[in-house]
Amino acid sequence: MKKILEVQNLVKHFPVLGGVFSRPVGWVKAVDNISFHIFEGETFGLVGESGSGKTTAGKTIIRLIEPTKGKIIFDGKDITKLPESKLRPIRREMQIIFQDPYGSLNPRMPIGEIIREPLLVHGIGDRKEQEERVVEIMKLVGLRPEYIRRYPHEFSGGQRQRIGIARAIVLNPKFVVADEPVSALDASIQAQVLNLLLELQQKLALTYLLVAHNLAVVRHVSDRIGVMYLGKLMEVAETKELFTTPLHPYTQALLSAIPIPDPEIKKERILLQGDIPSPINPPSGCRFRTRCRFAKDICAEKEPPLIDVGSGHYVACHFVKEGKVAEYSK
Amino acid sequence: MERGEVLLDVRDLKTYFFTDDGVVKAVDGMSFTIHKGEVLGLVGESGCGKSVASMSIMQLVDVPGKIVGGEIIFKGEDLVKKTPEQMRKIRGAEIGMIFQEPMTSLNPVYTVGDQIMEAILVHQDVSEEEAKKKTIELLRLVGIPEPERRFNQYPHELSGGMRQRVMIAMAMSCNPDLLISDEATTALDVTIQAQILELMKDLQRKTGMAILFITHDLALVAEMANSVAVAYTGKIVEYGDVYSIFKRPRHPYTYGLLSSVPSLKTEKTKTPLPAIEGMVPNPYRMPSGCHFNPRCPFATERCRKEMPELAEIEPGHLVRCFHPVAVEKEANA
Repeated sequence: MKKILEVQNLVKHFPVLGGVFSRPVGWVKAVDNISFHIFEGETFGLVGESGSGKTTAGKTIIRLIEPTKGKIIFDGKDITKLPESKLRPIRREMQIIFQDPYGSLNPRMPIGEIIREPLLVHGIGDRKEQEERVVEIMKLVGLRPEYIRRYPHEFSGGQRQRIGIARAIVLNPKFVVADEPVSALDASIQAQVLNLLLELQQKLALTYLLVAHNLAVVRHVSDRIGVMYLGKLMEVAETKELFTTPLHPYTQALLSAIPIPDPEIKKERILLQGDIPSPINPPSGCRFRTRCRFAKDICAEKEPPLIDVGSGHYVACHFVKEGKVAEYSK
Repeated sequence: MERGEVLLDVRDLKTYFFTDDGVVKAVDGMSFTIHKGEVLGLVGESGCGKSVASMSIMQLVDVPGKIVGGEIIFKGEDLVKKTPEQMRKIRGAEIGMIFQEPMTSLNPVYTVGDQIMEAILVHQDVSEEEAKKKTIELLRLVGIPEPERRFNQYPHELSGGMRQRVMIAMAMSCNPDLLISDEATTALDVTIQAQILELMKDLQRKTGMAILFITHDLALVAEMANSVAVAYTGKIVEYGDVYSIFKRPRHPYTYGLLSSVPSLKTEKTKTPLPAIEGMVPNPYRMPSGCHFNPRCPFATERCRKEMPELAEIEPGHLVRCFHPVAVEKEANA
């Protein structure tokens, strides 16, 4: 399988400014040395709780945020340091769908213009061709073309998310980052938007990076999943493998915390103690050790590397190889 | 299920909002009961009236909203008829409440300890010293480490999960008979949500209080509730014990909602989910007949003309539908 994206040792630190001169007094280690790849045509799910760095990772990969260190190889080309002029043609190939369908659309623009704008920016086609393309895309995402002159506030949350999706795919990209695309939507609308994303992937041969916190949603649409915690990747595996044999203690706790819509299932929860530490001052060694049931001295001293335990299953835990992490009970 | 005596009986509650653009019937004839020690899950999507119902119970509906009909019988007395003075004695003492965003419900300029103490001093005849002791006990009860130190901290110094624990401590301070939890864990991460739900279950078992558990998340209802009321456009459309609702959902809306949520069990990933068509109707332009009819696969002429009543379809299981779903729902496949 061809890798469409390769991320090597990606780092993004944000300065914490303080004092009269607004100098950096600390750094938020939002993404701290992560490596993974995405195959062409697949959906890679990136999950984690608040502060895990999943959204920063998603935005840094398409250079909406400049990386601090590391390498991003897109479609065989190193795009980490490309200047804006050279990046522009590549941006046609990678687009993003945002979480907030209210905040991410210009309220003063009719939706036809919002969807047409990327074509204008990239100078594709004349006005007539652009308008035809907009109508075609609107039909594709399930928006009625007669709404072309309406404004975002005239639409519901689900329809606005369709507008955001239309804008992302109008350039016919190869790769789309979907950042929490359904988390602001009601349950009955979530399914509609997820179905649209699946349908578009098939029709347009899209590759997705799905950034989300809802594990049931991620499981439903992803081929492979990466689990982040405090700026680090803890585990990467194929979806089925991750849900049946999670190896990292954090993944195990995360999966066991998912509420199940079935009153007959009384789950034995692995309740994590305490809160997620601050990414400004993360724990030494393994970042999860302060909440881990299995933590030993070595976890504070040495950071466990993300290692391949076979068939594309990667885990960052000192005890995985020795099989010391308890069996996950479902 | 064995049920205690009725604690709260909401009868045909109507709370309308009178806006410049027209009348929004946010709660339009809702009825449900909560028995002592019971957890009732009130579930529905945005605009179903679940939060307005809880604000109505607390008598906290603000202009342009108004309770225009119905009764809210709490321990035998109608809360709608209470004076603001009488309600102040009930709120916080007999009925506690926790909301989605603890940051906006806590006062940023007082320490968390002072705020809990205030609730105790207002409602109970105790000295400041006793109130402080009780506050620290409460902080310990809700699982806050080092309660003596936390007592003197301000809300911004606590994490979201800790703030929600403080809210729970405050709500528990006067041993309420009823706790209203309105999307209390929605803003929290899933591992923190699990902690808070565990805490609520534990406190419920220990104190025997009843909980009105309001949420949009069906999975949480399955976990927490004994009984479930499903709301849509200001009306209850299905009502029953938690097993009936999840195993034999009879209203097409409940059925559709349960089927459209991705399941952790299904092998059929990457396939279309059975989504409910369309969207919740505009509150100013409600469809005639059953409000769900434009989205319902089983709708007939009758559904477009007449609003069905909430009727008992089997003992204790009520459905507002002319054509209830007949099939047994596969165990969440």
